[in-house]
Amino acid sequence: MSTSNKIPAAGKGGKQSKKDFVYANKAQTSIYLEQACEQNPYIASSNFLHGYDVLELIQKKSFVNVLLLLFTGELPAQHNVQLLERLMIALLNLGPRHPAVKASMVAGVSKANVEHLLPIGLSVLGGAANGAKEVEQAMLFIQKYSHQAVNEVHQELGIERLDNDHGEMHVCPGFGSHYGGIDVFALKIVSTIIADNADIEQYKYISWAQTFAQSLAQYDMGWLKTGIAAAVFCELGIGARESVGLFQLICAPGIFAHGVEQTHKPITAIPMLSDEQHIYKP
Amino acid sequence: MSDTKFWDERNNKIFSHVGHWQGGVDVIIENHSLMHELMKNASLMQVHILNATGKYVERSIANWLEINFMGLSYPDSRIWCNQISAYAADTNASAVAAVSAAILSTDSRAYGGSQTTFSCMTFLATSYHKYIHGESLSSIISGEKVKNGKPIIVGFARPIDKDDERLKPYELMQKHLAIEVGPYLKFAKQLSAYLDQHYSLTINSGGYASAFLLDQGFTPIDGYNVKAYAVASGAIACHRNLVASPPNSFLPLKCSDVQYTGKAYRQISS
Repeated sequence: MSTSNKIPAAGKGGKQSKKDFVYANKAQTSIYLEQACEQNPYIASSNFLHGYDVLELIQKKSFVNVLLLLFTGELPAQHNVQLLERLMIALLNLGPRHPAVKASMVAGVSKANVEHLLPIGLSVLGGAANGAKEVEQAMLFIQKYSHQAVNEVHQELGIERLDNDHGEMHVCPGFGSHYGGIDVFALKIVSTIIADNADIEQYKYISWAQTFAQSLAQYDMGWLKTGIAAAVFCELGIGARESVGLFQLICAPGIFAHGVEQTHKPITAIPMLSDEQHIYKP
Repeated sequence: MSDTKFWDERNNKIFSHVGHWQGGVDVIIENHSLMHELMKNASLMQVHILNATGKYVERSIANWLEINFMGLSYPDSRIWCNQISAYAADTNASAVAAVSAAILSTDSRAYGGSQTTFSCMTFLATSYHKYIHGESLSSIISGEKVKNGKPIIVGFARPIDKDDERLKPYELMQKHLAIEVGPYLKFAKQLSAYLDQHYSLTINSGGYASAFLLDQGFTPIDGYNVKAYAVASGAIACHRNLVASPPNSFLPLKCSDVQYTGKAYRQISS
């Protein structure tokens, strides 16, 4: 089949004017093409993702390959597939103490419809503190400062030791304290993700972020999981805005698994605090 | 050893400054008894505003905001949030899922209730401050971003149509409720006249309501919170309109109705 026959050239959609605002006649996408079958213009007979036949992708590529194709527009190099796959395993389950997972668990035990558990958890995961919005901000932070020496960044941002009287401190998006100390497991995740990679220097964002995180250790701070995701996404060429949903997507399995587990338990299976444990101070 | 005092204090404890439910007895909202005071004397909107802002406003203010809410929630599935609610109906998702999705979709910088109110109140508060200190409207406008030769000011344009049918009822209701037109609304109207003259832009529902909220002493965050679910009612209606229909019946698209602008066919290299 000739290339030109498979996908028509992109044209310009007609416009309809409505005073100050001009709306397109058709939605546009550069991601996906659905080609209709001859008998029914509503039924697709062939689908293409960034120009690749989806049936060929099913046969020849892994899920992570195609996921990166979806977000970057190109099939990735093998070392990037491995990098994302490792991050996906690391973040597959944020654990039953993360607010997004707790939200899903509370919804599950209180008998919310099962189909709502994931959207509930993902909404909570959208936040700017330990959530997807922080990943976006961390990407912008890393991209902005990764060409600078970390001591210069310390000076510019006035980073210093902070006490824990006001709770968790994220001195920069993706970096800070976790319950008053260094997130030890996050550190181990980074080491494992880049372990056995002979040429760590090829990952300029991760290398810089690792140096930056190490420089925060003197203040009992370091990597946060959102920072790890951000550094990896920088390496993979993911857009900052795209990182928000990709982070949510990667963390989704654990959110749902913990939520649905609770649906099998009685509503009493998660503590309901007493009046004395709810302290009202107007 | 890390200092974990902050977290130890909160371990299995909730501290609240907004309210408290004492099972079998009463509920307190910002020092007001729900059973003995609010249920007798307050409207639903007054209680909502109390929960959203901590402020117990006069009933007339709440009544005006009810009118504003009516103006933010039409039963028309062309409007973005309602379209989303209708898509939820098309997949036979529940009305609660539909309205939740619709509300989420209005957390938007372009339209809806919350973000636009926050942006507009922030702009009006800052601009009014400049204005009373002698800055001209032209100078105030010059600091804003421009698109297609027009300043982008939330609350002073409408992504559908220039004329806003809600302004007249808002004004009439404000008069009927004997709520004085405050300095922010006066300023917003002056600004609207200026923008109309120079850029063919006029105040819209969001601009009016934002100025109204500032005149009543609310902050931009208060405004955001008050409007959090303002679109819910129309979204539920649009779900109800579609939910009994068969699948893929709402705005069905032919394959050719989506314009593909991406890469041409390519083979996977081995």
